[in-house]
Order: sequence, then structure tokens, then C-alpha cells
Amino acid sequence: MSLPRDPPQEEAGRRAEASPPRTARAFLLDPARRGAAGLGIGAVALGLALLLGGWHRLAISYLPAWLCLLALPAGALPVAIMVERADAWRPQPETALLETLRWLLGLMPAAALLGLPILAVLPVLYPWAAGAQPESPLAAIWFTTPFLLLRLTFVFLVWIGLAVLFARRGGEPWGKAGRIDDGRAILGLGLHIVCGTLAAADLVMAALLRFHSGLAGLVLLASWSALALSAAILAAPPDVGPSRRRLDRLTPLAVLLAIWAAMHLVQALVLGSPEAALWYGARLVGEGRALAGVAGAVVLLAAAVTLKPGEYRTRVVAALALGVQILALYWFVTPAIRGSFKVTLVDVLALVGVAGIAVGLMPATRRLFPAR
Amino acid sequence: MTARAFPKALPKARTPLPESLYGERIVAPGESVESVARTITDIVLAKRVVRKRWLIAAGVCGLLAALLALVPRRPDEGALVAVASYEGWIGIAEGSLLVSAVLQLAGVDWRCAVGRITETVALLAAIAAWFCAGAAAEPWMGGTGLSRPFGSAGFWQASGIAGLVVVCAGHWLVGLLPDLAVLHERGASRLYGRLAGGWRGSALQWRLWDEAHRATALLGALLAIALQVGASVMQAASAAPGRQDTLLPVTYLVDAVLSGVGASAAVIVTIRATHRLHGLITRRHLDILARLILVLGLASLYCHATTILAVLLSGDVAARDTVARGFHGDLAPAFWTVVVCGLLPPQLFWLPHLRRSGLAVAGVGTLAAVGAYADRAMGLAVALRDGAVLVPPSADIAGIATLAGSIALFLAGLILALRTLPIVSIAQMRALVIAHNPPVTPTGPTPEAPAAGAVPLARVRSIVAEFASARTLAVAAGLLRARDRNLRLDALGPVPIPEALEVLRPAVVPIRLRALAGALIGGTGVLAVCLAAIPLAAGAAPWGAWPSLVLPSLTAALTAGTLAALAALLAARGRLDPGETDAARAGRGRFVLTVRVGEEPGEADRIGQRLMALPAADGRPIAVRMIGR
Repeated sequence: MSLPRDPPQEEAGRRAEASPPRTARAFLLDPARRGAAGLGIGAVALGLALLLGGWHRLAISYLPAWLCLLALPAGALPVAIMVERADAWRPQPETALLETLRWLLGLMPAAALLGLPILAVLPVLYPWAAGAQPESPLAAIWFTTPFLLLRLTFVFLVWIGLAVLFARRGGEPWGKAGRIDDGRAILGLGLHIVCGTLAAADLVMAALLRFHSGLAGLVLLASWSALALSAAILAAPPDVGPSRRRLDRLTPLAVLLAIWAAMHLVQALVLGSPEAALWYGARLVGEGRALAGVAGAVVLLAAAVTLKPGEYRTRVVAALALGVQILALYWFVTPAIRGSFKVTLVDVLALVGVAGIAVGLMPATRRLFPAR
Repeated sequence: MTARAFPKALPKARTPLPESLYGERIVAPGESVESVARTITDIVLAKRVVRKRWLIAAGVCGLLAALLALVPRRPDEGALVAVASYEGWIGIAEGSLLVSAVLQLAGVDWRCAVGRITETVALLAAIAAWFCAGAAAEPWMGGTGLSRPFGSAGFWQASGIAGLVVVCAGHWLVGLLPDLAVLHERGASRLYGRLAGGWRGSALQWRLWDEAHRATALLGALLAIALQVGASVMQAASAAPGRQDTLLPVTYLVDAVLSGVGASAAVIVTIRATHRLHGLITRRHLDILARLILVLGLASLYCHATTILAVLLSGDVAARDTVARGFHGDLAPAFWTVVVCGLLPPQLFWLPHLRRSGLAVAGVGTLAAVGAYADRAMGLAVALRDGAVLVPPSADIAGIATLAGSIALFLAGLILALRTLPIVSIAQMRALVIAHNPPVTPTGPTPEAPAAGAVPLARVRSIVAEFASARTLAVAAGLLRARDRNLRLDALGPVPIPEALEVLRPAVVPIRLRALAGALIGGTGVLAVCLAAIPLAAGAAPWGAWPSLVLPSLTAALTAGTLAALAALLAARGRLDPGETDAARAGRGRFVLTVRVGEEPGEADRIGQRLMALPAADGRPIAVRMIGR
């Protein structure tokens, strides 16, 4: 089966075949060489991070960087299902946004592979793996390495399956006339929410001892979807023809950002325990407080711009939202281990490294996906 | 026609069930603009004997509610059932309002047949909640009457319910306005005509109506979310251990929507069966309602399972004890009612044939509402037993009387609404019918030139041209306007006519701006009063008292916005000019273009000729009449 490639890539591929690249930039953007270039850049960035921070600090930086990568396919999955489901009643032309969201689903196998190093540094990241006293009888069973491996295997197998299924219109080959139906949409969304909640509990909330918020799973899922949609808006070319009038790109992003902010607000208002105060205390000082303020402003800006949307405004809001969501994932995870929120050079290098390796793995992992 | 669409006489076993309902129609194939109006108004204009029976039933229910409200109560008894009834009704009201508003804002076409019923359920449930809070449960709720001190929790709770009733009623009234004019025209009493005022069905009026309906839907959805999440955040923040979970606001919101959809589904199925509305509310509607209940049931299952898992993983001893009490303790009856009624029955709708069964949809919908009620009761039982409120969480005759009285009041209101008002939106159904069953363009001979009849051409005041569709009307209006920009044109129709509006382009202040202005004035006004009147502790920041500031201001803003939208729409109706009566009457069933004729001699004749010269398939009217001065 041939590899599905996005339309801009195909165009670039044709150009590359016609004339070999003559500059470094053209060499890196050449689809045929992108994998090798990504692997190289990723390996260099991770090597630098290891040299600068040592494996302990690299492990702490690697987790949020990997979560940012995972956010692209895992966040795109529910948005793609919802957007496609909204259009299922009548035949519609495809939009570039939906195509880009489906393309992002192809990153899921790479994200799963890049999650393997985390299993090697569990004691650095999670108190339970370092021998901390379990909080409850169930926690003593739940937070054990074999059970964690079992859950994560289930989660990623389901996610990869869903990504393969929904990377094609209507979840074919079983779709009727290429339309997604309610059963497939409900099954996809339901399994995704269960997987996301398990992943949030195991990989994020478990980093802080004696604190667990039931809402954390939904907060993380909303954050991932906002991140993926922002990235897709930035990456997707403008629609032309009948598709142009069809989909307002900004409103779904504004709604997602509003839901994400509202859930954070609700969580902050409800929590009153000392553990919760500690959780927020580590995040709402200094740079963390500034990020919270900026995030609130971006959410309000997105809502305001929906009154007068436009191509340029939408892209500006998406760029701001993408930046906020990447930082918010660091804000969510790193203070549990470091004690406060601060972005370091090692964090940046880890992010570049994970992104580069993911690009490098893409040609191999996308073979799992059927050709369009 | 409606009854014949899916004949009841046909044995069930022989009824062909389609493999997939995607091909099943949202409205029966035989329905037309005329039949829709006839079917719906016939319920109200039924024979006097039939109507009398229904009104007697409503009166009995109302009397029962009044009697049950008089059952003596003691402040130290029966809190659980009474207060849970209040919260259960609030949940149904907010859930119904939210789902109706969201579907309308999303432009979902299948809501046309069931939207009015859902809005009616929301309004009546809000009134039933007021009944529980205002009269029946007063002794137990820390004072929720309007006479309570300003700034107290009871005062804000009462103002929240009042706001909900006003917003539900405002949204409901806006939707009713064009239907009242149809009802009056088909023989209902003068009261309907007075309520409809100067409604002519002009393109501008339709546009304002649509805008007002969408604005009130948005305000209603925001109010439902704000009240539900605000109340559950406050409850979760102040609750005893075991219910202090961050997911609780989401759980309550999901349960509220589930109970609202469930109760609405039960009412929809009952009305469909008793009034033979099978052509308007089809099996496709039942299937969609069942799918909604299934999705919401899954969401509720997720919330409950996640809450329990979070407590068992990292909750403290008290929280784990509360969960254990749910499995096998004093909370077990409520917990297992939640599981058996609220969480498991919706899963039946994985089976396609149950999704198309009216009985199953009504039964599971009712059970889902009972499950949501039991969840509220469980939350209250935890709060009442473990909190500082010294009230035994047991049911007594007074609490049960409160619940029974509220149900009787709800039924009385439902029967009254059903027999006195169009229970299905005529305007929205007509738009749906025109979209799905387009009228056949008459292929008869070309209509005669302007039928001046007895009116001399010199005394013609206006020309009324009837068209088969909004598109042909818009084409004709565009051509006339292109010839003479000063021509005074107006378009009337049984449904919104956006095509004509693009040609006529009347100057108008958007209703959404008036609603926004009303909301800003109402919200800032109440916020200012709160800041001035609520005593804060020395040195305390105002945002520390956010429950006393944000929620009341938000409620006031959304209520004021709804009232502003309603007032703007009512003001835009104007007064019906006696000379326009004929045109307005014609516009109730067809698309009508009226052309005001000036004093210039021969102008009426010229306009008539121009209309008749239009291509038969593109702009030529099917009838033209001259109206005298």
C-alpha cells in the first residue's frame, strides 16, 4: 500500500523529483529526505539536552514534550470525528482542515513508540514507582508496573486502532457511502475519552502524590484537542471552491478553549483540600500566574474574534492558542516534579528532539495506515 | 394525512423497518404547508366536548397541586424528598432548555417538530421547581422566598429560579408569536389575535423573529449552564467529604441534560400517540431521541465511574466511606436507583429496534429522569447527614406531598398548553415541509392579467401577487426593484423569506444588539447593587464573595437580555393596517409580494403587466389581485 501524503507534500514531492534541492532549507523540506533530517535533528537535540541537563532533568523535560506530541493525534481524533459527524447528513466537499486533522492521526504510532523511554524512567517521574506509600488499597494494586504496562498497552492499541480507522473519511472500509454513522462516532469518542482519562491518571496526575482530580482527564483531553486544532488550522491551506463557505475554523477552536478554561476554573473553585492548594500553589506563582493570565486573555480573544472572523485573524488566534496549550502542558506536568513552573533550555531541546524523532519515524509508522 | 403516513392499523410485524434510518424522512411525504397548520391547530380547535374533558383534567391536576401544597409541614421533617424534588425539576428545566437551545443554534432541522414540546417542558419544570422552593419546601431551604434578606443565599436561589422561569417563558413566547396569528386566523378566539398583534408574516418580521428566537436560545443556554454549574460548584466546594469532587459539576450538568431529554422524550411520545402526530413526529425522531439518551447515558456512566475510581484511588477515608455507603449502606437505595434507572436503561438503545419503539423511548426517558432525581437525593442525603444542617434525611408525607403536588402542577400546565396553544411550531414545521416536500409548481394556464375586478385602475392602492415559492418571489421582487428603485415592495410568507430580504434590504436595528444592551444594563446594574449592598468582611476582597456577585449578575444579565429581545420583537410587530388584512391573510399560506401603487396614472397597470411578463418558471406569479383604496 502506498503512503498517504498530504496535498502540499505531494506537490513538493513532484517538484523534488523534477529538480534536486540545492539549498539546506530545500533539502530539509524535501519529503524524501525529511525523515532522515528529522531523525538527525531530533537525535542532536536530545543529545544536547542530555549533555546540558543529565538524564534526570532530561527525563522530566521529556514527559511534557512527549505529551505535546501525543496531543496532536490524540487531540485531533475527537475533533475529526465531530467535524465529520456534523456533516454526515448530506454530501459535502472535503475541507483542508479535516484533511489536516486526519493527517495528524498518522502521528499516533510514532507517539506510542516515543512513549517507550518513559517506562524506563518511571521512578524519576512518579512517586509510586520510587517506593512511596500507596494512598489506598486500590492504589497499591493500580500503581504497579505490570498493571500500568497493561493499561498503557490497551490505551495505545485502542488509540492506534481508532487513528487508523478514522484517518479515512467515514471510518472506511466499513462506512456506507463514505459517511460516518452515529455508532462509529459514539464508539470512537467513548473509547477515546476512556483512554484519555486513563492516560491522564497514569501519566500526569500520578506524578503528584496524594492528589487526584476527577476532572483532570477531561481537562487534559480538552487541552489536547485545542492544541491539535490550533496546529491543524495553522497547517491547513485555505479552502477554495464550495468548501470555503462550509466550515468556520475559528468557532470550534473558541468553543474548545472556552470549555478548557471553564473546566480549569471549576476545578480551581471546587478544590479546597491542602493537597489541591499545594497543586495550585506550585503553578500559580511567577511565570505560572503570568501564563494563566495570558491563557485567559487568549480565550477571551478567541471568543471576541468569532464576532468578526477572517483567515488572518483565525491564524493569529490559532498561533497564540498553540503556544498557550504547549506551555499549559508543561504547566500541568512539570511543577509536580520540579516544585514550580519554569521553562528551561532542556525543555525546549527535549521538545525539538521529540518532534524531530517523530518526523523521522513518520515514513515507517504511516505504513500502518491504508492508502486513501 | 398525518395519521395515514404511518398507519396505526398496520400490524407491527408487517411494518417494514428500514435497515438504516438515514433514509427515513424527518417529515411524512404527504405533509404540506396547509396540512401542517390544520393538524396542529385542530388540537386546539377541537370540538367543545373534547376540549372540555381535557380542561377538566387540567383543573383536577391544578386543584390537586393546590391541595397538596397545603399539607402542613414541619421544618425538621422530610427535607430530602422536597429539596430533591426542587433540584430534580430544576435539572429537567435546565436540561430541556439547554438541549433545545443548542439544537436551535446549531440549526438542526429535526428539532422543528419537537422543539416546542421541549421548551414547554422546560418552562413547566421551572414553574414546578418554583412550586417546590416557594411554597412547599420553604421551611427546609433556608428561606428561598423573595421576601428573604437581600444578599442571602436563599434570595439568590429564588432570583435564579425566577430568572430561569422568565428566560424559559421569553424563549417560548418568541417562538409562539407567528403561530398565534395562524391560530387566530383559523378560528381561535380574539385573544390569540391580540397576542399576535400586527404580525403579518413580512420578510422583515420573520427576520426579526428568527433573530430574537436565536438570541433568546443563546441566552437560555448560557443561563442553564451558569445556574447548573454555579450551583454544583458551590455545593461541591461546601460539601462534606465524599461529594467534594471536581467532576461533580460536570456530572450534575450531564444528569440535568439527561433528565431534561428523558422527560421531554416521554412527553413527546405521549403527545405523538394521543394526538396522532405520526406524520410530524416520525420514527426518525424517536430514533434520534433514543440516540441522544444513549449518548447522555454513556456520559453519565463515565462521570459516575470516574468519580468512584478517583475516590478509590486517592480519596481520603471519609470519601471512600461515602462510596462504600452507596454500595451497601444507608445510601444504597439511592445509589442503586441511579444505577438501575439512570445508567443501565439507556444502554438498551444499542438495539436498533428499541430505538424506534415509542414505548421504549418514553419508558427509558422517564427512568433516566428518575435516576437523575435519585442522584440529587443521594447528594443531598450526604450533605444533610454529614453537614451542619440538622435535618433528618428521611421522607415523610409532607415531602412526598410536595413531589406529588409539583407533578400535578406540571401535568396541569402541560394539558393546558396542549389544548390552548400550538404544541408543535407551525412556522418551523412549515419551513421543514417546504424544504423536504417542495410544492409542485402549478402548470395550468397563465394567470389572467391583474384582476382589477370591481376596483377601477385609478383607485388601486396596492397589487398583491402570489407566488409558488420564496425563490420566484425574490426573482420577481428583484426585477421590479431593478426597474424602479423607489417602488414600495413588501414580501409576506408562511415561513422566513431570507431570499426576499436580500432584495428588499430594509433598514433595521438588529435585535441581538438590543439584547446585548439589555444584558449589559441588567448585569452591570445588579453587580453595582451587589457591590454596594453586600457587606464584606473587613479587608476582604470583593471576589472572595464571588457566589454573591457573579451568579446574580449573570442571571440578571441573561434575564434582562431575554426581556429586551422579547420587547424588541413585540415592538417590531407594529399594528396591522386594515388595508393590509387581505395580503396578510394570503401570506399565511403562500408567498405574497405586495406593491404599493403611487398616484401616477396607469402605474398599477404597468406593474401588473411587468409581473405577467416574467418567465413562467422564473418569477411569474400564480395569481395577481388589485386592492382598492
